[in-house]
Formats: sequence, C-alpha cells, structure tokens
Amino acid sequence: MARQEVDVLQGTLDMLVLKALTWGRMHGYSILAWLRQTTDGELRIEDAALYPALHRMEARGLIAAEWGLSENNRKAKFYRLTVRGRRELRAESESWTRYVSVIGKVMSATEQPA
Amino acid sequence: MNGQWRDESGERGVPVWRRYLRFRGRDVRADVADELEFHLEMIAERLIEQGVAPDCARARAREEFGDFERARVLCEGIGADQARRHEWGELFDSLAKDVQFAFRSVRRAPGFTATIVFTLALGIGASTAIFSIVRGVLLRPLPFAEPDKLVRVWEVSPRGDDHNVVSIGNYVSWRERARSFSAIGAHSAQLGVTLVEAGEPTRITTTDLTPSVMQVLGARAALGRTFVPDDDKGDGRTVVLSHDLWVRRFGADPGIVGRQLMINDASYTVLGVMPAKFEFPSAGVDIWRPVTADHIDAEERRSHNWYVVGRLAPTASLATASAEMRAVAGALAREYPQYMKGFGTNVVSMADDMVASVRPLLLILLAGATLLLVVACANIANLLLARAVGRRREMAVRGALGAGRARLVRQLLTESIVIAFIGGLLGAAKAALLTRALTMLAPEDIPRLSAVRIDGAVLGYALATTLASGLLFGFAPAIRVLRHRRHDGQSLHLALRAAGDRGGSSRQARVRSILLVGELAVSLILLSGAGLLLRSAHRLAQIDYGYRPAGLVSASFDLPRARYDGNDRHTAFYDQLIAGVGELPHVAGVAGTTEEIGSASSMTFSFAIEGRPSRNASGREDAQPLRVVAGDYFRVMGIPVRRGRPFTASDRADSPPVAIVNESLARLLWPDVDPVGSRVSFVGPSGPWLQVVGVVGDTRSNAADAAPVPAMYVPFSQKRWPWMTWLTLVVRTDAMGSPKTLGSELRGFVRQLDARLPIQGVSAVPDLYRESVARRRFATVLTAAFAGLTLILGVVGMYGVVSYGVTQRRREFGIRLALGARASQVTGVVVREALALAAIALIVGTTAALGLTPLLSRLLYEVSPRDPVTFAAVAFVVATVAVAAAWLPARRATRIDPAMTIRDA
Repeated sequence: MARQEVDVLQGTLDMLVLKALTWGRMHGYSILAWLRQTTDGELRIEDAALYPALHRMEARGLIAAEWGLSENNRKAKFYRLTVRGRRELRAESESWTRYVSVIGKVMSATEQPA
Repeated sequence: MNGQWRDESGERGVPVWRRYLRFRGRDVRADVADELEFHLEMIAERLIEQGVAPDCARARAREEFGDFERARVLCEGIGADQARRHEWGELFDSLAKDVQFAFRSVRRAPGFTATIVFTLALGIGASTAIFSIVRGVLLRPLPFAEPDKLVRVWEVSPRGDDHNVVSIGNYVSWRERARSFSAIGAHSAQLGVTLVEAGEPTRITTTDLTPSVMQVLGARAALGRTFVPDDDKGDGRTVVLSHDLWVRRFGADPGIVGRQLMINDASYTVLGVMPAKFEFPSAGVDIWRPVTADHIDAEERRSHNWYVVGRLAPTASLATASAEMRAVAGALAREYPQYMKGFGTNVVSMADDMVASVRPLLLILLAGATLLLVVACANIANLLLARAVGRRREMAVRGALGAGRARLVRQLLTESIVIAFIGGLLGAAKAALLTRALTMLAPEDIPRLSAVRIDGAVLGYALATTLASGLLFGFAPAIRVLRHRRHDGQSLHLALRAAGDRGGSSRQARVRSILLVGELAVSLILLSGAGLLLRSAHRLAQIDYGYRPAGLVSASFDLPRARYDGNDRHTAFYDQLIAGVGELPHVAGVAGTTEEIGSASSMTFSFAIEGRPSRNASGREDAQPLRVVAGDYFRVMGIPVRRGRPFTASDRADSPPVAIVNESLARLLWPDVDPVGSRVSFVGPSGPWLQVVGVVGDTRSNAADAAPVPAMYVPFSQKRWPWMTWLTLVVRTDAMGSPKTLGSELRGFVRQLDARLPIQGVSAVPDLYRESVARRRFATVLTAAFAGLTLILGVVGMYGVVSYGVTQRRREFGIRLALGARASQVTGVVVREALALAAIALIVGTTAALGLTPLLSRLLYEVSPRDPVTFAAVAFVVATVAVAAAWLPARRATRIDPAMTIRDA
C-alpha cells in the first residue's frame, strides 16, 4: 500500500462489478479480490461499499444471486450477470470510453485558445 | 479461481434446502448476515495467512471491512423491499391462475354451474331489486337544497293525532313567533282544477302555496322564474307549471313564460316551469299557485287544512325547533283557549315524514328478499358439498402434488366467487328488469317511486351481496378440505380408494342436513307471512261493503263557480245530468254523491241535536262525515233503509229540510232512542233544523279495510253551501254496460249540456278500492313469490340430501333387501329420516315465524299475526312437500340390486 490509491468514482463501481462478473459467478469477496488484483491495488474500494451496490443491482435485475459453497467449502452467496446486466455493462463501458477520450482530448490539448 | 465458477447453470454445489428456501420466500436478515459473515471470514483467513495472530484477525478484518453496520442495514432494506414486491407479484400470479382454473372447472360442469348461477341470480336479482326501491324511497336524499334542514310542522290535536293539518291562523302565528326557521311556508292539499286550453277542458292538479315555500325548498325554475317573497302581494293570478305538464300539454313550448292560461274560468299568467325532478308535495302535481296575503285570514283557527314546511335556521336543530314550537303552542293555547286548548305541535324531518308510513312495508320486503338469498346460498352450498365428494380425488391428487391446505381452500373459494360473479351479473340484469316491473306494480301512494333507479349504490349492493354469497356458499366445501387434509399422510391413498365408492363423511352429511333444516325453516317463515297476507286478502275479498259495488260506474264532475253560481244552478245542472244519463243504454239507475269513494278523506261537519246540550263550546257535537247525495241514491247504491224513508224527489230546496243517518251514527248519538223524528242543525242549538227521516245501513265507502264510519246524509237539492260544486255520479249498469262504453256515451251527453265541462275520470267502483288495498296486495304478491321460491329451493335441497343419503347407503339397503326387507320398509326408513329433518325445520321455523309475524300486523286484515289456521296449514304444506321430495329418491332405494352393491363394495 505504498503507492497512492485512487478513490473509485461515484457510479463506476457498478460498472466494475459487472465487468468482474463477465468471468463467471463470483461471491463478493472474490469480486473485490479480482478488482484489487487487476488494478494492482491502486483503486481504493471499501469492502463495506460493495455489498449495498451488489444488492441494488440484484434488485434491478442486473445480476442474479444464489447460494453455493465457496472454494473452502463455506456457504457463500454467488452473483452472476443476467442478460440485462450484460446489456447494461455494454452501454456503460461504451459511454465510459467516450467520456475518457473526450476528457483526455481536453486534458492533453496543446493549442491555446484562438 | 475464476474458471471453476464459469458454469452458468449454477446447479452445482447448491444445497437443495437452500434452493427450496429461495422459492419459499427468504429470511432477508439471515441472508445478509450470512453473506457479510462469509466476507469477514475470508478477510480473516487472508490475514492469518499473512501472519496475523488468529485471536485478533477477526477484529482486524472488521476494521478493514469498513462500516459494517451501515452495509448490513442498507442491504437488509433493499432485500426487504424486493421481498415485498416479489410476494405481491406471486400473489397476483397465483390469483390469476386460480381464476383461470376456476373458469376451467366451471366449464367442465356446465349443467351444475347453470343450476347454481340461476339459483343465485334469483336471490341476488330479487334482493337487489327490492334494495333499489328501498334506496330510492328511503335512503336517497330529497331532491331539494340541503334536504336535511327541511322539516314539516304539524299540529297535535287534543285527541292525540300528531299529524293534524294546520289552521292558517296558527301558521301565521308560527311564522311570526318561531325563530328556529330560516324560512317557513304553508301549502294546500292537492286540488283538482280545470284548465281550458285551445277550447279543450282538462282536469289538472294544483297545490296552492305561500311563495315562501319555494324559499324553504330552495327551488329554482328550469324556465322563467318561481315564486319570490314579493308574489305575496297582488291578486295571486300567477302560476308555475310542472315540467311534465309543460311537455304534455304545451309541447315544451319555450315561449310559455308570460302566457295567459284559463284555470277555473279565471286568467293566470305563467311565471315559469319547474325542473323535471321537482315534485312537491308529491308526484303528480301539475301547477303551483301562490297564496297571497289577501287570501290569508290570520284569525282563522277553526278549519285545519294547511300543511306547513320549514327550513331549519343554521343554528337550529330538530330538537331545539321542537322545544321552541312547544313553547309557541303553549302560548297560543293560552291566548286562544276556545280554539287552541289542548293543541300541541310536532316537528318532523321532511324525509322521515314522507316515508314513515312505507318504511315497515319496504323493510319487510327487503327482509323477505334477503331470506330468499340466504336460502339460495344454503342450497348452493349443499350442491357444492355434494360435488365436493366427487372432487375428493382431484383434491387429494392436488394435495399430494404439493398444494398446501390454504392453497386448496383459496382455490375452492375462488371458484365459488367466480360462480358468484356470473350469478351476480345475471342477478343485476334481472334486478334491472324487476325494478322496472316493481315500480309499475307498486302502489301509487308509495312516495318517491320516481327516485327509484339502478345507481352506483344499488350496483354496490349487488356486488357486496355477490361477494358475501360467494364466500357464504363457498365456505362449507372449503372447510371440508381443511378437515380432510388434517390426516395428511395417508390421505392420498385413502382418498383415491374412497373416491371409488363415492361416499362422504358422516360429518358432511350432518352439515348438509343442518343447511337443509335452515332452508326449510326460512321457507316456513316466509310461507307463514305469505299465508297470513293471503288470508287477509281472502277476508278482504269477502267483505260486506254495505252496498253493491259490482256493476257500479262512477264519474266525477265539478262545476266552475263563475258560470254556475248558487245552489239552485248546481241542483238544476245535476238533476238534468242524472235524468239524461238515466236514459243511456245499459243504465239501470243513476244517483250522485259528494263522497270520494275509495278515498280516506271525507268532508266532516259538526251539528247540534235539538233539545240536547253539548259538551262543546259551540253547542255542536264533534264533527261527523257528511255525504250530500242526489237522485235515488240508496236504491242505486244498494244501501238498505233500516227505518224511516229514503230521500225522494219531493225533498226539494223549498220543502222542509231532511237528513238521514247511518246505523253507526245512530248508535253513536242516539244510543237508546230512534233517531227518526229528531232534529239537527249545522248552525247551532237554535236551528234552523233538519228532520231526521231515516236510518240506513253502514257502508265501507272509504276503504275496504277500514271499519264503516258514522255518517249523515242530506239531499243535494237542499244543500246550503254554494262552494259545494262537485258531485260524483254513480251509475248502476246492467250486464252489458262497461266503464269504457259508458264513458264515451257520458262524454257525448255532457258535451251537449256544457262543452267546457270536463269529466274527471270514469271508473268501475270496485277499481276505486284498488288504491286502498294496493300496499297490502304489493306485499302479498311479493311475499308469496319469495315464499314460493324458497319452498322450491327447499324441495330441491331435500331431494338432494335424501338422494345423496340413499346413494351413500346403497350397501345397507342392498343387504336389508337381500335379507328380505320389503320395499315399503326401506322406503319407510328413508322417508322417516326426511320427516325427522322436516320436523326439526317445522319447530325451528314456526318458533321463528311466531316471533317475526307480528311485524306484519299493520298489513294484516282481521287475521291475527299468530293465526293458528295459517300456521297449521303452512306446517302441513311444508311437511307434505318435504315428504314428497324425499319419496322419489326413497323409491330408488328399493330398486337397488343387492348383488350389485355387495359386489361393488
């Protein structure tokens, strides 16, 4: 944790979770683990913030949940993407990419105003 | 680690119990706790791997997790929301399925369903129709502004009549003194007047009222204007028309306002037309004329012929107004002791006052219709119970497939309610037709019949009764399922086998018997009521009227005073008329009377008897009905002359005045002596005198069901009251004469005498009594119909219960027959059991009926509400019918082939 962490942006957590679930069903802990591993720990996500987000998305029908046994044989709640979730992820990631490129254009601008 | 979970089906590794729980609804709190707990454990494990001491790993995990409580609360909230939504969705889904399923099972048994639907439609139709009348007449507010503020004020006479008509002097005093009313007004009774329009005379009805009555009612005209306080001045030659008259007589002419109309040979200016729904004081009034100040004699306190209406002031209530009026009456009694001594006042809400007399009748009919509905429901419950036996297999299978008890009960109730709704729809349609028929059949004197219609409240009533009946008759079979499911474990097996022999539990047989007893008992109550009413009707039909109404035709006339002034001209006209009509074909005799046959109202006079001091200050006896008659009245009517002589042609205006009394009056005032020869005076103890020349028999000429009243007769030719311009002709016709042919002949003849004189209705005299017995007949017809229908339902129920019992005991009967029992013995067993049920019903029903029939007493005539003959007859009918209904299935029991039944078992 030597490097400086970046707070996850409001609203982007959902998108990241959806992305994580494209790999298959996961419980909350493994979602977080994957996110931390992928970002090399540079993104700060509070464990406590994850669960309300999961439950909200479940209520919206973006993800579905079921009970199962974890890798260490414990009862865990697993989430997976629904068709709606997949569609949502596609839309979100498109608009995210455009946002980033537009903001990037501004931030990397070299010409001064005419 | 991810690859392991790529299996999307999600079947693997999920314990069955958990999956099941997901479907059975979830425990949200436990789920959230489990999930978060797992997360904490995972963190703790990692920490331990990283070398953290196990005892403090958990606390560190909790720290790392962040705000645990907040996460838990948020998740639980979301979960609970979702669970709720989920449950509702599931409920709707399953309800929709239930209804679909119900429709399917209803379609599978069309005949059965049709029976139930028609039975129910019968009950719902009848009770809804009666309710629509109750609603229109009793419950709907009066069609005036702020109707709950409207009151009627009556005098209470010294004799205790609390609806005594008011003298105009009293009205004036009340108006001046009482502070409880924001407006008060007086109006006359309905009066017949002659309207001559385009040369054609017609009789119309007016109510004359003080202009303030319109302010009391808050009434507005539909066209032109109605009376305003200033119409109090002037000569009162203005008129407001009813909507009906305006359409009927003037073709809804929009230019009617300002026109001159000839009414009773005087000219009146039309001020306006009232809206169609304005009926005052009751339906059928054609015009309203103002009573102006000039026509009010504030000192007149003797003749009581005004009706008073008031609007309560905002601060006043019925109670405070009553109290104030009591004080006013007390003051008046002190100031005018000779007229007002003993008089009080009575303030009543106008709505109550209007319908007080019909309320018992309508409530009795509503009770009758409701009882019919209850019996219909009991019958349906019985049918459903019988069918439930056939459906035991279906229920058992559905139960075994996992349908819970509550689920099956709900299913059965849904089925009942679906059936109820079909029945309810049909019933509502029937009610619409019935309501129309009933309003036509109903006696005309029921107030506010025009307010009867099928409206939201009536449909609401139909809906409520439909739902209630669906639950009521669905309850019994549903309860049965509950019972049966109690011994769940072995029930499928048993039920499948039991379904083969189509038996039912003895408990069920008992329920059906109880329902049947209830049906028969209710039917007995209604039959008793109908029996008593029918016996009254029979008594009424056999009444001795004291004269012969059959073959008499009446026709009424009223001479306009403008053209016929004075007693001599009246006598001359009517003499000519009577002589002329006597010449018409099929006429055996003609006479005339001032009495309104078949009407309760009568003209009363007080008189003094020569040589006898009177208790009254005026020196005259209490007023008695006076009938002024023309022609050979007693012979034409068929009234026997008991003593002395009838009037003859020689009793003329210039001959000595004479009078005749009837037997009741003779008994009342000459109890010990022969009235013939004594003298009476309408003026006072010093004459002028009329000599009583005869005593005649009593007549029931007011109403068939009212005892004969005392009456005095005087000849029309000797009358001394120039305002007495009217006469009703009574014509005795032979077998060929009818009111219709006589009417047209009469019209032709009268036109020759006076083309502008209308005939006010020609009718057969027996028909005139219709009105007085109409209520009773209405109640009789409807109660008899309800009673008949419940009896039919009871018979069907009895038949059903007995045939069910016979089927159930086929083996027993088979064995008995095999052992040599005779057919009559087997039949006897069955019929005896039916008789036992009927006997219980007789005891229960008769006891209840004895308690209830006194409610009918106002509608009964010379029959005690506990008339033993009626009760015995009804009990006999019910017992006979019950046995007959049991006999048919009992016969079937004897035709059982013993070999077959034993083999089947």
